[in-house]
Amino acid sequence: MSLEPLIKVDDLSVCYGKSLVLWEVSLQVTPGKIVGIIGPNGAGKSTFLKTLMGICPKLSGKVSFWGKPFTKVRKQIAYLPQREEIDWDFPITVFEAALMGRYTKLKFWQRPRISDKAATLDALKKVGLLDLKDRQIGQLSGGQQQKLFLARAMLQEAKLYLMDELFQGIDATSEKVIMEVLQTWKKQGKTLFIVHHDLSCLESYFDELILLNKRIIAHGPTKEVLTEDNIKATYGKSPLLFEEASRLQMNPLG
Amino acid sequence: MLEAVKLLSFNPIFQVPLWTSILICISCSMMGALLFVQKKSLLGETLSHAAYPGIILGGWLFFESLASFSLLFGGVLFTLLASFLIEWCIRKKNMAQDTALSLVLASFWGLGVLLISRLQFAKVAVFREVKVFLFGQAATLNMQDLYLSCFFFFGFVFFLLLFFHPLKAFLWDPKFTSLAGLPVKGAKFLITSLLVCSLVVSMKCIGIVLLMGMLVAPPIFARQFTDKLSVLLVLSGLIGAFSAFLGNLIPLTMIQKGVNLPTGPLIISLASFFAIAAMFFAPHKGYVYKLVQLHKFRIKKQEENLVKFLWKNPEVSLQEIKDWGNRSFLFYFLYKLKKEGFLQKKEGKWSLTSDGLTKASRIIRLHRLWELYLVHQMNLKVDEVHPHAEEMEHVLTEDLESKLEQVLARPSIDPHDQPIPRQ
Repeated sequence: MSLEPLIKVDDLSVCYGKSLVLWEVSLQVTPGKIVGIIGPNGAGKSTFLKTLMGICPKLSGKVSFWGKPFTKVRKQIAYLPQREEIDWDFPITVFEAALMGRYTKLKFWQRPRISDKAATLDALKKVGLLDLKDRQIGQLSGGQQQKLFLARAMLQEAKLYLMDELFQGIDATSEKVIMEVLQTWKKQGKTLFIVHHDLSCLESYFDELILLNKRIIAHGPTKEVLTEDNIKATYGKSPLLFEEASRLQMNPLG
Repeated sequence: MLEAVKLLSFNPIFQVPLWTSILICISCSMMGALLFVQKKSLLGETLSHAAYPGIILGGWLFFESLASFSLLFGGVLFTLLASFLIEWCIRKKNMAQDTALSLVLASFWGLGVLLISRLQFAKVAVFREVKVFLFGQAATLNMQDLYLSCFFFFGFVFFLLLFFHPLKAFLWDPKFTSLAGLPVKGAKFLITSLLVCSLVVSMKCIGIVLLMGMLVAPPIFARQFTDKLSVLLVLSGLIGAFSAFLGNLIPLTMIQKGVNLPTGPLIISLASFFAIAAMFFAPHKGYVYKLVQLHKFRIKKQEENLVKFLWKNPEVSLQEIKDWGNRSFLFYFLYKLKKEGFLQKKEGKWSLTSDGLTKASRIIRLHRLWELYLVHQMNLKVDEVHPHAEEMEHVLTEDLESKLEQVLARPSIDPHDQPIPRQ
């Protein structure tokens, strides 16, 4: 039995202004896995996630989820942004912020029901933020902020999770809690894409890796992909040259 | 004063301006709160100024047929135009937000000044009407304005109540809201229309130039007291209403003394005064509150250090305490601790009472627990931990104390092989 690909990307290219960020990326991923997207700074990892959801405009190529465009399946997909993209001064408590995960299930004139609030308390308990539920979100530490995102995503009850730099600036205990949540999701048959910036702990985190640096260097089960050649190809000196050449390509006269 | 209150509450001449300005100020303050949490307050300033040429043109062209509605109509049109222009500059031309806002403000305002210089010769009656919009004049508000502000106020509150949750999501995390499939464009449209209407409705009362104050001061005030958007909105509205009330009352009292005060600027000054006062004196977030807390902590620390000294050196003379160091306010601390029953003085020697001993052993306990925690759980070296524990012994709460006990499995010896006193 062949599983229908959960994500199918064909020849995806993206550019910011005149510089090429992603170049003819094609891949397919089947459900039920934790997939790491690895690459150096400026390799286009975050852009890749955002382009999948149509936040960043693409130059060419096609993206489909379960054979459908993103707009048809958006309720099945949850996105965890990078911490820096959020306004942490906003007057909102941890509980209210997590509750927003349920807004995806409500029509815009509906108010959250009692069951939604109960589910929120439950999700906060699972990530260990129940004691902090009445705090303003800016008073959380980095790890706690990620856990808040996780609780919000949990409440969305999606099938696919796209997470940007989930493990950045996280202490060991938070990491353990987060990993537990991810493993339960995986057991429930959910698929997780996680953008990751360093090379430690890869094997324990991810079932599958995508090595990305403007284009896909390698994609496959973690153990097979994680070779020295592949790493060199991803993190080597080449990106600078590539960038320069692609800029020339976009604008040959200078 | 009492006379003025009576006038305000029974005389219909004063009631119309009073209620109109209260309703306007509530709407404006709540609208300001919506901008404030998005960190887009300057948008209000730009849009209110952009209405100016619209008001002039509206009056110039349609005053005969529409009377004062022509001014509002022109104002709304130009504010909308300005907001689209700003959006276009930022989105399509990649312009920085403050650049786009400055550009639009200056160009529209310039056009307005140009137009008014012609209008004062062309149509004197319209010119007089328009001039009121510049600085506002509550006394010119009539029944028509009251109905308009009332209508807008209830519409505003209705929309807020109906869409509060998606609006909150949009204001905090627009990207999430749009990915979740909630109508982001609708939310943007709603906020822009509410903003445009609240600005134009308020101009005759507060004036274009000062309107900004009503948008920023109340939310700043409210933010000092709350971390919740719903409370922020209500509190902003309340302080706006209070400022409007006082802004109408004070001129009435003053006019009896022969002093003439303009209402609009007074309302703004009051609201700003409340905002600045709150920044200093609000509990928890106010500057003064924080200073007082810091001072209280210093006193507690000094006190506890003195108790600790006496625990280590039972029965000491005053001179010995003086030699120990820490001499600032020494007599005050000795007197205070004695009065509270922690210290006693016998035959010229100071020592701890049994209450004092309990207090001291708790401090020692916290100190040693913390040292142990640093060594065992944080892998610090034994000779590094003392200075940090010196500070933390004054900070740790009972809650943390019991958690420490748990983590360290009720220890009895600290890293320096000293016993940890039990409760």
